Amino acid sequence: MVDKIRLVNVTYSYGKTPVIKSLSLQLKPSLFYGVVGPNGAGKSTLLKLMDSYLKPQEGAIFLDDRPLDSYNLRDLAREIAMIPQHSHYFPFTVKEMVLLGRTPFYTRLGQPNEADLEIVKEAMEVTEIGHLANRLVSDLSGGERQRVTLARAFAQRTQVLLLDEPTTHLDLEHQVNTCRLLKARSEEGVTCIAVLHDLNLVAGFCDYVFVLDQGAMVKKGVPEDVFTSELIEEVFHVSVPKLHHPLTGRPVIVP
Amino acid sequence: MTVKLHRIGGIVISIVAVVVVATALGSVQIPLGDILGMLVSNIPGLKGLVNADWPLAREVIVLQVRLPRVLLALVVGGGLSVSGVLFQGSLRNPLADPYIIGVSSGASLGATVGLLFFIPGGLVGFGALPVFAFAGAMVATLIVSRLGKYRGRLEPTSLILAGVAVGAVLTAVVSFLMVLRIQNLADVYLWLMGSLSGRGWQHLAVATPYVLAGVVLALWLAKDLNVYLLGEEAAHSLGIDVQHLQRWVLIIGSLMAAACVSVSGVIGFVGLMVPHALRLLFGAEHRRLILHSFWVGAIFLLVADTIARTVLSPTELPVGIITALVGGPFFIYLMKRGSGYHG
Amino acid sequence: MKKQWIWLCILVLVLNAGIVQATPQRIVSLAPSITENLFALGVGERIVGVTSWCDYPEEARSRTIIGDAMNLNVELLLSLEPDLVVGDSTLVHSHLERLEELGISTFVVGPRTVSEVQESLIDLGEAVGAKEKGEELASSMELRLAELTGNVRRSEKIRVFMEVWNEPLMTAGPGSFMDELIVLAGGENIAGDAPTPWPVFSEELVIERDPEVVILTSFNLEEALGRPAWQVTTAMKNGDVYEVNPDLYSRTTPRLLDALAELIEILDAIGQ
Repeated sequence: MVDKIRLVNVTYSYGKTPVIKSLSLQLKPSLFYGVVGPNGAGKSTLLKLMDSYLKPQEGAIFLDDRPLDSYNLRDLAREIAMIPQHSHYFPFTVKEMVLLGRTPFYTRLGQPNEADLEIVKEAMEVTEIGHLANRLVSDLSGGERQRVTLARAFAQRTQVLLLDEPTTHLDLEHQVNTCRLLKARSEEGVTCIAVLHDLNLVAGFCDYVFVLDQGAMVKKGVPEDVFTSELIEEVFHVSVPKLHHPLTGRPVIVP
Repeated sequence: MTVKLHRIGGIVISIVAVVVVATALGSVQIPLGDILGMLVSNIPGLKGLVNADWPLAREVIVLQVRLPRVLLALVVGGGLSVSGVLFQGSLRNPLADPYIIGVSSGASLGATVGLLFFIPGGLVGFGALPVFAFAGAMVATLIVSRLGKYRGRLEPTSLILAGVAVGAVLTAVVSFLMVLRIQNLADVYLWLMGSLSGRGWQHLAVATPYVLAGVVLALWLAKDLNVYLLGEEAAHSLGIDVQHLQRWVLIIGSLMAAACVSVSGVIGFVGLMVPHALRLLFGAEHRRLILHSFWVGAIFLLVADTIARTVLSPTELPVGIITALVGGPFFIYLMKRGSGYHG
Repeated sequence: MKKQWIWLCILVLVLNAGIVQATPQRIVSLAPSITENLFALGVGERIVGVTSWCDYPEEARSRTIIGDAMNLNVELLLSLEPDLVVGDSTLVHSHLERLEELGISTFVVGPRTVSEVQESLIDLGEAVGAKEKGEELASSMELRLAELTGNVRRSEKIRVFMEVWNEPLMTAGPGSFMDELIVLAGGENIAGDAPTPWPVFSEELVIERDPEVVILTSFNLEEALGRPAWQVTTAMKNGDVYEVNPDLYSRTTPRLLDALAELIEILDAIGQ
């Protein structure tokens, strides 16, 4: 299968401190990737590089075998959607905010058409925020805002979804729901890449895991192969017993 | 998200009504019939309809003194408000105003230099004052936007800090010059207070093109500004060239503010409070915010200036007193009431 | 600086010469000193508008007020239908250009010395069709000036501090007519080396230079007498602190010589 996104020897530093060191990886369509690693491992920077927000100082990134920097931003926005770690919330209604996800699809002075509105409605329904449509985002709880942001990214209808800690403010139910939604998207052919801190969510839902530490790839593979007691100890400095989910047989990480 | 056509019609009619009422009010009592007659007789082709039986001095008062001042209040009020929208949006800071990156202090320095060094020697007349103020404003903005870069990107916090620092330095230079030079000092004080008094058609001609072009360009960028509110990374991922957008918004906002300041001096409050109050009422969607800010800001400053020139006639109050006195309590009421906007 | 000034006056005169032909019948004055001078020139009845500061002579108060030091109510001024507006270049005068645009003749004065007051009386007289009266006023000022200064019989100069304002402490420096008055009265202005005509002055220097007389022009005698640091000055010790009528000292009119007479009297009393 052809690579959706490919990084070749990518290096990025803020000032003199290298954050990503000569990293190479390939991402395929229809897979849900998890990115894990301790604080400062370079996870967010990796996503920003894939979204072209940051430009690598060395190496190259390809989307569909075409260099990322050869795309104009608007075209790229139709291919890749990104949920950054931090968002700002101004007095927009939920519906207005989700509609912003359609920005790359109509012209500067144009208006969203029926199809756009239909997509927005659907994105709000799957993220369970339909009942909030006319509320102000600035009045919502942290978890509700997070789902609005997710709906906005879904409304972009892209083939790639980059998500930086999409479950941070969510309760358990919505954490699980979010992961199920991402899993469902990937089964429809979308490449999903999520930075997640909850290793159990990664173990439970992701098809493939990248473990980053100090800007380098420590390990990659399916969750069963990656989440060994040795690796958790090595990367997170926490010793865990080897456990498995009694129903799914997937790894469970409990300190 | 759209502003309906009949609403625009309503807005235009209310602006015309306020303009007529403001033109009818003044230190000198002139019958409304005469005023309407003067206005109509100056529309090409309609001159024959009116019997001009009023004294010439009154026509000069209405057409050369009041009307340009009334229209200038509209232009400056609307311009400052839209400029405020642009700065609050591009700096993602609801406390930003048109003067935040040094436009006012730059314009003050420009005007002071003109008044102290060029006009006393008879090199140029007082009519050239807007040019000096405008140049000063642009130079200050340029310096601030140079200093406001962090890691090669325009960064809101750095810009605001640079604006404060440069503003302080320029204001100090103005004070220093005022200590050293004596001629025209009274005129400098008058200019620094900010006023629409004694402004004529030529001032209107200076400010109007910038303000109108600025509003059109602001509307052109409105959609991008909406997205930009989400944050730089989110905006980038939605296809917005963030650096490009910031640069243009700062240029347009500064040009509008500079054009307004150069003809009216520094009039406070309008550019900060009007966009802010309207955001509370109508939400942050920029196309709506820009349109509403323009007409509300325009009428607000016109009403304030009309009060300023009539309430203690023949004495005129500085218009800044009225904008703060009328606008302040209303703004506090809005703040306490919470947002009224729910789609 | 002074040269530029004269050139500007000449320029204004030349520019106005063409416009001011018929004798103005409806005059607006934009400064108290101008109002006083117009009355002195005998054309007071032709004044239709004054500023809120114009209080001398008493009759001036009966005229329409068209503004104050800062603001000018342009429409009220226009409604008076003036044929001449006289402004002072040392006050706000940016309005005048606007008035010219509206088709109103304007005339600018701005004397800064006693002799310039004399000149400006002639010029102003000419502008309002009372040239002879202007010349008469100028020459009687000349005579009175000679008489007053001729009577000064003191050999040594008395150190004077002229306090224009107390907060901040402002005084009269070289180039101001108050400085000129002190010199004419046979005094020595202790701020005579200041860099500008109306400087904010150092309190330390006042005490260091030990004035023998302090003249106050802002009605603050009580406050001034209570200043602790000033008690060491000769003026304070001898009780030579005087509150004077600021209008006499600050308006460029023939009454400046009343101020000079008063100043000479004060200094003479000390010199004995």
